Amino acid sequence: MNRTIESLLEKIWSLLISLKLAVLVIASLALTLAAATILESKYDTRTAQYFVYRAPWFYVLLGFLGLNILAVALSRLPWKKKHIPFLMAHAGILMILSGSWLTYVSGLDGVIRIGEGEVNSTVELDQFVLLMRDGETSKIAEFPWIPESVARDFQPKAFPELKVRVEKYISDAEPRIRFLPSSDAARAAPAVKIKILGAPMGGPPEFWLWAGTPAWASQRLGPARFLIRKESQKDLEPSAATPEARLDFVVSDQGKIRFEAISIRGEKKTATIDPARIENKEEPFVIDPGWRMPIRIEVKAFLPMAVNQTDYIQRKVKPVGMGTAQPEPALQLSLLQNPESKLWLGLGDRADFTDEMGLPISVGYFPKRVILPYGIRLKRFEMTTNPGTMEAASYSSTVQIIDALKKNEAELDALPVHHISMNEPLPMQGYTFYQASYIPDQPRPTVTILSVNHDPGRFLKYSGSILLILGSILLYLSKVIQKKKKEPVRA
Amino acid sequence: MRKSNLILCALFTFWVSVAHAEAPKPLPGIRLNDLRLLPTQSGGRLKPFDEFARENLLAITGSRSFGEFDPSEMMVSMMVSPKEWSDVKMIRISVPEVNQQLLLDSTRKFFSASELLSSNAFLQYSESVQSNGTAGEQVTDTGVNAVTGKADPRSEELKRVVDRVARFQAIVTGRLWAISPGKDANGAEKWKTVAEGMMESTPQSQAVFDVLKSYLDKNPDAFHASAAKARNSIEGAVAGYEQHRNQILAETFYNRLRPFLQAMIFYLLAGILWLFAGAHAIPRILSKFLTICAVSLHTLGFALRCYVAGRPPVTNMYESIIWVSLGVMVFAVLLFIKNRQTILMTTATFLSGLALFAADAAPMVMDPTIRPLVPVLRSNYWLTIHVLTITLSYGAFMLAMGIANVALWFFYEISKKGESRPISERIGLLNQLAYRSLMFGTVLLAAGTILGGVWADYSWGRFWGWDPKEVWALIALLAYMAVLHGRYTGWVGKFAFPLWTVICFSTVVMAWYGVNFVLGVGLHSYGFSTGGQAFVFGFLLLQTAFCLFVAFHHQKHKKLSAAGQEG
Repeated sequence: MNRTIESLLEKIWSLLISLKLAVLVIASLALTLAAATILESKYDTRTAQYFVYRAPWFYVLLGFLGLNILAVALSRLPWKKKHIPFLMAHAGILMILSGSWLTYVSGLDGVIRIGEGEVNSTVELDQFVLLMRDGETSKIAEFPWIPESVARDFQPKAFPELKVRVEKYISDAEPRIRFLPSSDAARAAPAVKIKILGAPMGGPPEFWLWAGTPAWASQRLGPARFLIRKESQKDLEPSAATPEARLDFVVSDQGKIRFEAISIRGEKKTATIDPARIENKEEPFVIDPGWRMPIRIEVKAFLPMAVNQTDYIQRKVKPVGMGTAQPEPALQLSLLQNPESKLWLGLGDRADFTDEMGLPISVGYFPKRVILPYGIRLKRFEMTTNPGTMEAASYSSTVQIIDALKKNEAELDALPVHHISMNEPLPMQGYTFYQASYIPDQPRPTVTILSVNHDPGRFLKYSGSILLILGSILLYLSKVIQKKKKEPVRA
Repeated sequence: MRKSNLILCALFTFWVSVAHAEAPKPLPGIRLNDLRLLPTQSGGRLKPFDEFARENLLAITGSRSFGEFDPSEMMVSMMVSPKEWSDVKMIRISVPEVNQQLLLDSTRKFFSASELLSSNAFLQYSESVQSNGTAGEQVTDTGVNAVTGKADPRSEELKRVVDRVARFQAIVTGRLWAISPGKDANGAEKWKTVAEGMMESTPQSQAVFDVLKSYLDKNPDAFHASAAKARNSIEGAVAGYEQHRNQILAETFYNRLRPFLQAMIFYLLAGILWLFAGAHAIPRILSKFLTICAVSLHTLGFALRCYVAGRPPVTNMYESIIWVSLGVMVFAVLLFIKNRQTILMTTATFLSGLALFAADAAPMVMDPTIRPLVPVLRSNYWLTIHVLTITLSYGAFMLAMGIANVALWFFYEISKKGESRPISERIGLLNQLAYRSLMFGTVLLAAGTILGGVWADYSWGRFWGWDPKEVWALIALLAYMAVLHGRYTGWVGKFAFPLWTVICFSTVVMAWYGVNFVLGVGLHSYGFSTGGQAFVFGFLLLQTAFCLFVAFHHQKHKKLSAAGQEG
């Protein structure tokens, strides 16, 4: 019995120290990584992380590589002088691998957003949680991101602690805003859905106009503007100051709708829209605004009293542009006690429910947060551009560290300042702050995005790197010297 | 400013509507020295008018020259006779689908501005592109690939055509050429253009106006005098011009010399001569001389570019090809000093020459323009070291690939003519050289990748983030490591070693080109671009075909000789 175990161990050992196994492990790691980058290009970074870079089996593969290297190094015992370069290079790899493991296990990598004059100490991580508050208690549950191919078979998942159930999940969602008839006098406003016929104008061919908010009430497409207004909103009437092609939908207090079209040259045209023809497929209501462009507008729907409601659908077209667009997940929640109470949440949203006792329960879907032991105040964000252009040349944040309560602005302003800019990070009590990005704004951006980092594996990784490089240079030199020694023999 | 634009646009429309006129011709007896050296602000930096003109010429026509015109003279001519130029077929459309979309003759590549501006289809698309701010980006209904979300070649080209026409209009209406140094409302350096300057009558605009007028009058003497005056006027208005004078002179010299083009010719000539250098004394001396000329020109060009840009040229494909091909020569010379193998120099000079040819041949794909750095790459010592090290390793791998290909060719020779001692020894030597090159490469690649980690850690706080560019550098490293370890175990033999060296170079192609041009994801987005796929895939295909061809013959020969021995 003992002998069989011994011979088995011996076999495993001789397998582990074999170079052929090392070649196989190296090659399979290379192939895996190649597949991961293709996955990332085809989908996104999160998908590649889910299936490869953060998958348990990938860590097993890396661990196995480490084990293999360790075994090979030990098999050369007792070590001699000629082994030094070999040992340095391979010990370097082992140190880099273990340093990375340390970073993975106990490191921190997040971002913090601060506006000018504001103080923040909340670091957001790239992990997502559900956070429930009901009066006095708050509870938290991890809810990691799932790629689309896995989310397709998503089963509703209950969180009894949080009193909610996740009914549906979308890994990359886009909000879809719908307009529904409503009698809620406080929020409801007229809405009209139109479709542009004729020339493409570089916008969606079909869209809603809603008088509820200024942003929804008007839409600009190329040189033309589309607008909905109530007859009582006199301030929205076109003026001579801005010559533009306009198509206004004017809704009277009785709920009647008419259009008023104005061309760039100031020619006007108006008519009442017959509600019977709006939903009519055979004979739709089509407006000729009389503009120079060959454009017609079909009225697809009209609601005299409407409210908007947001839900989420799977994103079909990825946003254009090269770089790092990340998927935005969304989920649908319901109260465990009341399955009918379904609400959609995008990342960063909060849903407000009322339980059977009539008490409020609020559930948010947020990135996981870490609170720093001090606050950071952004005194000023500065951006310089390349001369004569709007391209950013550099940006930097002037910050202050607040670790005690300060009462007023004057006291805050007097605190010592630190500068963080590209390639000039700020180390502060175990954390390091880097200038990562900013939120673009006019006339100048005022919100900075810093990345916050705590990396206990740094020392191991750096010393491992130095060993690896020195070791491989020595290995190379020793090969050349060996060659030189051999040459006279061959001659 | 708005008003002046309107007036100029109106003037322009008037010019366009006038009937056809004769095509413009260069003015005989004209000297352009002063004109070329006029400082101007464009693309985020100070540059000579010559460079400004060359960039515009390239952007509009897609080629480096147009007829007999010098680029600088052409810009002036465009400004004084917009009517004639708007009938010149100079605006390139290089994707035929765009011709169809714009209802234009699909057999032609060049169109005149008036042709495009009188096309309703073009006006509609340009309107939709412009109303979206960043042209083409959101024009989903004009051809963004719905599956990948990436813009397809047609919509990319459409956007470029709209940009070309807009650029043409901006040039002829004087809205592009910045002449009067000044500051904008935020205190940032922002020069006034010819059009703005004429409305506000700055001293520079008067001088430039004289230049344009004397050109219009076809008066070379007045032109020379006014150009010299304009140069004095603009130079005098640039704060601290003395600091920039030499850079302006260097950039104009660099543009006139075209050092990489010349180096390419010398490399290719040297390559041919190296073929005969083993047997004869004259080609031996001549090939050495030509190689020295080529490397000197190459190094001079590199140094000039560093000086003009104020940084090492390592940020885009064009610049990295220049550096990598220089790296190939450095490694080749190092190895040659020890081994004296002329075939090594033949391989290296041909490789460098072809690489420079590829960089020079496709200015639309590989932008040769010197541009300011994006913020993350700015003033960073580690970045420079990291990129130079990594790309230098590509040079070593490229040389190894070249040598390995030659070794494979000798294996083919063996399969045809039978094994002989000199050929076998040659293969042994070549394998040894390729091995040395790989050692250079792997050490540099490992160091460069780690330096990238150090830089990322220093700038972003992340030593390693599985970013596609760094992952592919690692894949290339792992691939070569597998070959080197495989050679050690005996899995990779005398024939398999050059074969795998060649195959592994495709991982370098992927890390170097593929991540930026094919995958198009990750944090190295400042280097992303499109184009050149056909060329690169063609190379990979040819390389694969050659490997298969040699492997087939090698196997056949091995079987035959084994059978022969048995018999």
